[in-house]
Amino acid sequence: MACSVELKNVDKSFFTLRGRVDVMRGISLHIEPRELFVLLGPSGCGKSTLLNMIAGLEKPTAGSITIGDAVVADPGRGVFIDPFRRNVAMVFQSYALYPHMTVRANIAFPLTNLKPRPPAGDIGRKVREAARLLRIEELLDRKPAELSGGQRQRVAIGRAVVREPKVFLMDEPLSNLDAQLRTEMRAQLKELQRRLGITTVYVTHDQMEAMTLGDRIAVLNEGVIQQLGTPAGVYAHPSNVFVARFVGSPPMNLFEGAVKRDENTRVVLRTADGDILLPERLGADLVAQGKERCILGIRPEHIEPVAAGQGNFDSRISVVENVGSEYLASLFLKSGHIVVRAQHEPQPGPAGLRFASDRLHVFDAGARSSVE
Amino acid sequence: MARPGIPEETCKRILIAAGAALLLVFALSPFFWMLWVSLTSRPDFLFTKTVEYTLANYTNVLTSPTLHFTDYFRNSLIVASVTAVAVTLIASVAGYAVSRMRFPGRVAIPLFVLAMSMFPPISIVGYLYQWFSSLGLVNTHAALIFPYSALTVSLALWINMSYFAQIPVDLDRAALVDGASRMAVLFKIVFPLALPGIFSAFLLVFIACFNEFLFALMLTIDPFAQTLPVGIALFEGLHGEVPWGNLMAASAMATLPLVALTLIFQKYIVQGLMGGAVKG
Repeated sequence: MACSVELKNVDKSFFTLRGRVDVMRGISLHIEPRELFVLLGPSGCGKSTLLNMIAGLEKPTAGSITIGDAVVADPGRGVFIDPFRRNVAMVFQSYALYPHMTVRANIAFPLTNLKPRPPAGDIGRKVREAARLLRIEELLDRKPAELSGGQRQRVAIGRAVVREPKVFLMDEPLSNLDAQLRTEMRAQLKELQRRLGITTVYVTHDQMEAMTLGDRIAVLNEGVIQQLGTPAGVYAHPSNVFVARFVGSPPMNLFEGAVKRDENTRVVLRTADGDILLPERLGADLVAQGKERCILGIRPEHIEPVAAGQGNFDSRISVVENVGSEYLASLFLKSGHIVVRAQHEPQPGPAGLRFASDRLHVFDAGARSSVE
Repeated sequence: MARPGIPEETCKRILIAAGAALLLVFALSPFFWMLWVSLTSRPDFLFTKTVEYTLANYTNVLTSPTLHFTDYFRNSLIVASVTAVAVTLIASVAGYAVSRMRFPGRVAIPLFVLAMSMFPPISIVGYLYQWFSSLGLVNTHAALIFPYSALTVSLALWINMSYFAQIPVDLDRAALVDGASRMAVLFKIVFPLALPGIFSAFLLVFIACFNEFLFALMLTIDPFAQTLPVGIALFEGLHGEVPWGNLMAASAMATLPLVALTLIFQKYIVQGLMGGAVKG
């Protein structure tokens, strides 16, 4: 039975000898039944802490967590349900297989803890079903040390599915796999989640994983949700500079500067690397809003290399990389490293950059949040 | 082109072997001396040229009603086993709590326990005697089991802590989410994995208790409760001379179980003591 997961104003602080450290602030989320929800953020942003709080491995300092109809943590009302009573399953980055047990015993472990304990025949049947689902039947009598990384990962997932939990919690489950295996496992994981229809909260720092897996994603930084939405929505309309840089590979290019008029009275963004000509309507809007400084963002695929003087901005292409299906041109500017994604091979040297005028993002230079 | 003479590698090996041999001679010579004396018939063996070998000392020690060797041996075995089991149990659970759970004092507790074991035994034995006298415990096994447990628990606690630190915390967390209670995590996951550490703690505590002399001397009075080290020290010859043969035979018999235990389980002891030294 698929369950929703709800977090309301969840705070988490740690108390150390040096004082109180706030790691999560005011987290509110509603995860729908059967949804594959991804928590995306850089390491140390608090995403694993959030997952641990849903699992019951950490207690929130304030706020409430509800799984299905049951409130599992609410420090304000003194409610805390132990992890072993929550009926959630978790897959760890380290796999966390019990090294002294066979694969069979590992997968059976959650079932042996049920009260009342199911008959041995039922446990055996469910273990075999889980093993068949994950194609690890022939590994059942081996110990974890005798398995490859991919096989261990399957066993860890098998141990999670065998109990038919209310919620799957996955903490960077693919991070320890090599690139090829990761892509393969990613697709299989998504297919498995669809088939089983179990609500899943998936933590990753890999934006590609988040984009491809998630029904919705929440981007976290420094313990605060920066943006919540569908992968396409977050990619197309990042709410602030952090999300703009973090989601997308290569990341969005950013230029910070002053909104000015040039000698031809056209509105430009005056940056350390020269003037960037702004599209007429955008320029007029910024002037009308009285913006003096702003950050202009544009994705690499929305810049077209053209002849010098033909685009919004003139500069110099330093390096061109052939990545197979396309080319990545790099410009090393005072504003930072700018990347252009091109279908046809650009030539290193002086070039103009034409920005797709409907794909420009403007962020407030102070708050670093998106400007409508 | 190979140079003439002994290759460098061979030289190194010879030096290492010579060093090891020297160390072995140094460590084992008292032991062999003890065995040799226990197998000779004359007490003035140091000054005679001919030596007769005999097992008489052993049969004498084992059968003499006045030497009480079997009583001492039984007492040592009871005191050392009970202490080792109790200490291992306490130190395992405490070691798990201290190394895994967050609570006030988790850093101070192991240091405090360690500090307790640093008191010179002679400074507490007098008070213990008075206390145990008033409780009627003097000359009982309990009189030794309690102080032994208090003094060896730090050794076991620190060995266990360093061993638990090697076991990834994710295993505990996985087991908790898999529906296991804390106690189930301890007994089904952590203890089986920490067995070498726990076992080496058990053996070292057992050996320390088996060999302890001062408390046994002060807190026990007769063969009803006295242990081997005290019993052997109290061996007397008929005319007041030191009965070297009996002493050494008894010492050899007292040492052999420990040597056998250590040899059989040396793999576990090394693993246990190395816990935390290298990352797994």
